[in-house]
Amino acid sequence: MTNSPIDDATPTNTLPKPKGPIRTGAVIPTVILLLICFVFFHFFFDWSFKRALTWTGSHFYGAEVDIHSLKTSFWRGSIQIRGIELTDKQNPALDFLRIGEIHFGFLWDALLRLKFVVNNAGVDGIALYAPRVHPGWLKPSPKPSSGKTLKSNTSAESIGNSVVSQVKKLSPGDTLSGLAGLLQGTKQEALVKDLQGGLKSEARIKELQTEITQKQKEWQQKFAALPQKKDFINLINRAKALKFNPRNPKQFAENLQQAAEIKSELDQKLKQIKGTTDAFQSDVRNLTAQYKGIDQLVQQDIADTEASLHIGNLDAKTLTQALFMNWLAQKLGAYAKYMSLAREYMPAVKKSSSKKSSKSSGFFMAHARSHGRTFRFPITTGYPLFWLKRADISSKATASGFSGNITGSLTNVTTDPAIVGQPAVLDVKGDFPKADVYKIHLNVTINHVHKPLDTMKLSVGSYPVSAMKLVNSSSLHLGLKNAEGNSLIRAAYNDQTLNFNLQNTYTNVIYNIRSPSTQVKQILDQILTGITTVTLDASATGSLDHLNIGMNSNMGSALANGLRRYVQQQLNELQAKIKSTIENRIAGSKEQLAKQMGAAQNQFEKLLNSKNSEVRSAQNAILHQTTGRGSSLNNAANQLKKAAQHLLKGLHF
Amino acid sequence: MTLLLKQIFGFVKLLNSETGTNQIAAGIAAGFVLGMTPFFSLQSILIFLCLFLFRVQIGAAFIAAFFFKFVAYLFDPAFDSIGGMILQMHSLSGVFTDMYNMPIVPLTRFNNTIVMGSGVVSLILAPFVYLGSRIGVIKYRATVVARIKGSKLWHALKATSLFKWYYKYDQLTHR
Repeated sequence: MTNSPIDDATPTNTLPKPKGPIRTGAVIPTVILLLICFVFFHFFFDWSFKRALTWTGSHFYGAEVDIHSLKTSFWRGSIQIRGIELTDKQNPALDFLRIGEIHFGFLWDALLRLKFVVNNAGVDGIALYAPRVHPGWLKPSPKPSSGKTLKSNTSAESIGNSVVSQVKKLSPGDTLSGLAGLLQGTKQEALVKDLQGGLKSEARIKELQTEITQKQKEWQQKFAALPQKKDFINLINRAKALKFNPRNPKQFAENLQQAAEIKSELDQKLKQIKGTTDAFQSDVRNLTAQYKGIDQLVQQDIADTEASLHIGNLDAKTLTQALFMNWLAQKLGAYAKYMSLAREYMPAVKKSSSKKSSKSSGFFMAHARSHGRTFRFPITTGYPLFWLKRADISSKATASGFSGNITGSLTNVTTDPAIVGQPAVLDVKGDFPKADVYKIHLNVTINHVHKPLDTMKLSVGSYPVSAMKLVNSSSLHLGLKNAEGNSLIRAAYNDQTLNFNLQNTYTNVIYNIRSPSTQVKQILDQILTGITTVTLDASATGSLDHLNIGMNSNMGSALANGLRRYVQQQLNELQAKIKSTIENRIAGSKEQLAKQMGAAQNQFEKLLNSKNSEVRSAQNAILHQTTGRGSSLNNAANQLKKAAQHLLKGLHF
Repeated sequence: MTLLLKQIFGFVKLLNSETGTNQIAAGIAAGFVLGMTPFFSLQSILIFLCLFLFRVQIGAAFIAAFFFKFVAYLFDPAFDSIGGMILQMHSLSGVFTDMYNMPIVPLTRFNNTIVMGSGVVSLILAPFVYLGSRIGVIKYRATVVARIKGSKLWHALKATSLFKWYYKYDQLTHR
């Protein structure tokens, strides 16, 4: 045991050299780790960050977003992004917006508190609709969520889609295509096809016929259960058998009781007949009302058929809505989407949190936690999670590019407007000479300091309009080929109420009219040639899930007046034809129904009348019997009274 | 996980050796502070940094932290009261307000009652835990380890070729 390796080794030879308190072996791994971090942040971080921004931006915006270069500085806390390109969702070959450079620096004081505060940022080189090197990627559009309510799905995208689908529903449909079809004569054939389907009035008549047959069976059962003639004769015979003899008081009392029983039985039978009569009359009234309702359904069928044939009213309002409603729906949808986004990311202070903020100005404020309580002390130097104090926007137009002369500023964009106490304001003015867009003035105020109030005013003095589609169907293509636009949009979104006004004017308008029918093309050409200026005034008010849309355009009025000359006669004829076709189609069945109703009513009314007469005669007979006996009873009583008086007189009382 | 197991084996080995008493005691004291802290906060990172840079037995710290985490849970109501009392001291309100508005310092979550209570208590008790565990380790070696080394089983185990082989390997790896 003494030769144990432990015993040999431990005393002197292998005693490790005493080590100091610092773990020197950890120095090299630490240095390597720091070196790796440095290499990543120096060489790869900007690239990775750029890729992350591009990917996130593309998915968030819904179309390809490109960034040419990105440079960060750890020590300065700054970021410089160059060449931001946002693909146009309508035309992926163009960039909707191109920004030459964005640069900003974060405050280190805020960064050390895990907050992101930008004192001053710069945005330069703004260009609109510049051509892309390659067409941009577009995110597939989600399925419309028409069946969902706003409450069930509150994301900004779905709110925008919901507004679009809601406004589109208010559109009278493709009325102009319908009218074009009317001119071509195709609507007569379509009418025959359309009417091959079921009519609501026709279906209702069939339902009523079935209901009447069923009711007839019910009535027959009820009438069979009513008292018969023999029952009444039996009662009369029983009444006749009553004697009411005053000399036999016992029999007299029994007869009285029997008379009461007969009367009670008669009352019961009367009640039964009255109940049946009331129920029958109620059913008749109900069926008559339903029969009258058929006329309303006929009107509904006529309106539905007209709508399916797209031949609405030839008034200015309908035609204006038919022309511009879908276009307006997109504008309102976009506005609603971005306002909802602003509310999501820049939330207004809530009632509960306002209490917190008022308390936080005091000495202590604590709230219960699952593990302990967290105290809040007065904030003397606090920042919201993100705060862009000011960004100056400037851009100079160049001869070659699509950039514009833009000046403006963006102030107080923050995740916590209550702390900042100022609304976010974007104010931009400028021109894009290359794109022929002049006198742009955009002012957006997002005030979420207390109650949300978002306002926007956008005016564009002049901008080119090309290939604006208004009607696009197989029978008609109508749009503005070229025009010069002028636009003024004012919108206010207060808490839950939207107030949106739009005034657009298109001057020097050249129309794009195409139709398989030469006649349609000629007519529309004639109507629209004189109208070189198109005005459009639109408004939308109300909550996002229930908007009231108002719309007025001289183009709608001109089309209404012009088309009326050519189409009114055909329209009237077709409307009359629809009416007569539907009425003729249901006339037979309606008449049959009326006959069925009349026959049933007569049959059962006769039965009821005979029953009533039976009851009346029985009632009279029984009354006669009882009152006749009653008079003899009275006579007997009087005689008795007189005899008693005579006797009293004899006794000298 | 391998690193953790290595540290724990290292702790067991060091505990049964004749050196590193202060390292073990410091590790237990650090683990005590770590275990008493309810959340992962800035001071936890600071303690981890100390464990990494100073020659403190990490395995001991981990085992102690694991053990004290359960014990601390029982004392949470007491820590809550102590922390609440400190945070509501009028004389310290100015200091706390300044700390609350300083960069970095709020990341320690000092304004939470349990963090404050457990932090103060564990810092006060840490030297005593250090001294107590030092005494405990010495006594453990003097009694338990000595008794095991004197046992027949230990002698039999030492005589095996497997033990000799392991001892040689251990010497070579630590040379």
